[in-house]
Amino acid sequence: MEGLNQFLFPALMLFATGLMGAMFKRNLITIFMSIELMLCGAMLAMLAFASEFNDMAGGVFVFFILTIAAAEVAVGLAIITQLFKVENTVSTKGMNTLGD
Amino acid sequence: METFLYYLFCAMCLCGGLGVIILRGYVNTAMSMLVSMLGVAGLMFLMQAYFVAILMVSVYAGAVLVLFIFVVMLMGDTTDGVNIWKKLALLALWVAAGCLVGWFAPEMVEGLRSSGPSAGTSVLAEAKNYGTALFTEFMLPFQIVGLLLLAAMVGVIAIAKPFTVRNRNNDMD
Repeated sequence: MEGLNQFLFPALMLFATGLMGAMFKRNLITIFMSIELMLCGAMLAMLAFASEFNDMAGGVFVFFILTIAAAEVAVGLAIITQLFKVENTVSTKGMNTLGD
Repeated sequence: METFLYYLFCAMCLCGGLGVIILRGYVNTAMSMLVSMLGVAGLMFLMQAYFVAILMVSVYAGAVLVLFIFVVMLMGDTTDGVNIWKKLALLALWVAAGCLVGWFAPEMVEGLRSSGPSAGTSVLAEAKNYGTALFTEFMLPFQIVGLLLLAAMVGVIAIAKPFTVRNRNNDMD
């Protein structure tokens, strides 16, 4: 097995999947999960390069990304629950009040 | 054995990701995201980054997914209304993206060559190396991340508090 490409392929595919979900889904929770998938793909790519070049920086930044993802999930889900209280739905279809 | 594990984890990763964008129920979506996260952790394990893999399982599968499922359970409506044509279009787009990535992947890193195959253990394997790096070279980002976590905590409390208009006269009760 060759080193770098075999880990970059799942990373890129995970990122592409997350991007597709974030672009085409109409549901706040699914969009949020897709963003998490994109973060996972980025982490995997970063770790693949770090492991290929035997460098510590990539690993440490994966650690930071994990922390920030956890914080982001907490804030995002709080916003989604508040939005659900107001709108009574999590679909993005009617959420255009800022655009009017 | 390693090849088999690689393909297994890859399949978990990709099928979980596909499940997130294809499946209908929220709980199904969350479970397929769990499968995807476990696949990612397994791939990290194959890279000898054991510490990050364990962190991935405990933080993502342990904390983030539980948070997602809690929020899903708090909401009554548990299905995502996507019709079959949109699903098929997403599936076709996903396959197309896979073909594109798989086609470009060998050429993508042609110019990059590592300083030689890293024989022996990787530097990412030991948790001790992470601690050393965090407290020497990456001290400032570490502190900033601590501050960010505090800000996120305060922000979440401020957002989740019941939204009331405070009246000066009725402030005591």
